[in-house]
Amino acid sequence: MKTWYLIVLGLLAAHLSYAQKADIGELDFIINVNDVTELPQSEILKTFKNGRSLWDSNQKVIIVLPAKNSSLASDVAKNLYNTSVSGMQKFWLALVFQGRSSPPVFLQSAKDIVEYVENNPGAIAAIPAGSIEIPSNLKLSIK
Amino acid sequence: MKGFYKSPCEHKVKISNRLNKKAANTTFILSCLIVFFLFSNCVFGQTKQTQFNGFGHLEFYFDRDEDGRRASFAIGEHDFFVNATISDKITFIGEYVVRFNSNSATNYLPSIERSLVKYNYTNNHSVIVGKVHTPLNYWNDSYHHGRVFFPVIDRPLAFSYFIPLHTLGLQFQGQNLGRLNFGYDVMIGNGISSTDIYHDSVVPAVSAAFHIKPRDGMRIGASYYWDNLHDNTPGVHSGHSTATSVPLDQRYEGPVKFRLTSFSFAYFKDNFEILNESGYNVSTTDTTGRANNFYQFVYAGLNVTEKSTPYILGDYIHVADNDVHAYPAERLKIALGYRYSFDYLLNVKIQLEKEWEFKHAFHQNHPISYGGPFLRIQVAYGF
Repeated sequence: MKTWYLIVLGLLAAHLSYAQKADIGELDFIINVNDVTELPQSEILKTFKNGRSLWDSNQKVIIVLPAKNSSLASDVAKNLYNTSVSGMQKFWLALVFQGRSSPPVFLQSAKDIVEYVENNPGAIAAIPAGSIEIPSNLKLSIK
Repeated sequence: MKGFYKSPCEHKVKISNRLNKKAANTTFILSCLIVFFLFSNCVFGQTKQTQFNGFGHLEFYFDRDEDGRRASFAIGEHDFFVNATISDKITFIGEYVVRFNSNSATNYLPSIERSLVKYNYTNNHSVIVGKVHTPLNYWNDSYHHGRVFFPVIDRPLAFSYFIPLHTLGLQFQGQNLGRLNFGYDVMIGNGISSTDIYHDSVVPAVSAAFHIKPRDGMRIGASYYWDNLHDNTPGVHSGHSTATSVPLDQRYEGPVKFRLTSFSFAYFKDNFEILNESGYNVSTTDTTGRANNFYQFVYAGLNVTEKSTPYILGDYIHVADNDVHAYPAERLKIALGYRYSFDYLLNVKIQLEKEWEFKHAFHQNHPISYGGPFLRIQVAYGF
């Protein structure tokens, strides 16, 4: 009986210690959508969680994120998705496999991400705050 | 990961030739699929418009029944998945499976599990045409043939009896609407007794499913499926075989009114997972009357770490004695399992399960407690 208590307590302790903490303020957002320079936090979060397929301008929403082996990925996964890099990848792969989303674009560096957003109308990206200087016309502020 | 008879007499010689032809056709289809995937990846991959994924699984199981003990390795179905963006608003999705089949000369048969074109006509609303996994419950709408996504080793038992796995037709879909993230899937198309090229009446099967996602990771859904089968074809269920193997001379071939109401509750968080699938099925015929059937599947897992998940499951189905579509059955399965996820593309599940078969049509001389305990190990992967 004592062994069972120890097993259950051990599982609970491991379970409680396994927790992520999200903070959207730790991220910079980049966008290339006509007339959109700021969005409410809830709208940003919803967009990054497949809550929107088209912008008001009818452009397709293209989510751009750091690739899994990018040094930027863990901060974005933690602060935006409240999970690990693997968890973030699984979240998107599952949605794509369900047929409920197009796949995001995963890129290696902050520079690649900024360039991709700049060249692809409808794109929105998240990177850790201060990773790179973001052109003012692409910067998305939290309303 | 990214975008990817032997024949001592003349009669038997004829059969052999036919099988050889079939094998050649199978090989040809497989070759075409592979070339198509490779080609599509080369052409569109550079512009990131097509993503190709593969999923597969291997199993080891140790079981014991009245015939003795067995320890076997098994190769599971292998799934090729394509998601291609044709334009800003149009997407193509295909899912092709190759699985073991001892009736095939090559021991494997390919099948088209999904093939659809989706038109996203306005934000979060789409029209879909093609073959889909009928969006009746969380499991059928989410996991398809990707074992790496399954929280446990197998689909619920109900999938072998009641769930109309596929529909080929026209679907209207909405998702993430409003504060509760409301979603709908309404569909008409070829129903249970149809094939992928033929429907046996002018009245289509109709399904309507609704869900809400009030919190991250939570989905609550309900659905209704309506199908008047012109000719009862037990075992087809739009593409997959059922658990009940019915002798040809004992098959009921008249019309059946098939209705299914389902309810799903799924809550997948980083630290715990719960999935409930319930359903109530009525199948009615003029001769046997109304058969009331139901099923219940419950899964609960505790993510002690991101990679480590011990879990339990309970799975029950009841098919009434007067049912001539699924045929009478009552089964219960319980299992204790452990899942270790090396990565989102690789996991190992170890499951100890026990099954009780209280009754089952065409299963003679089975003791009630015939199944197990089984030890099953599954390696599921994506690539």
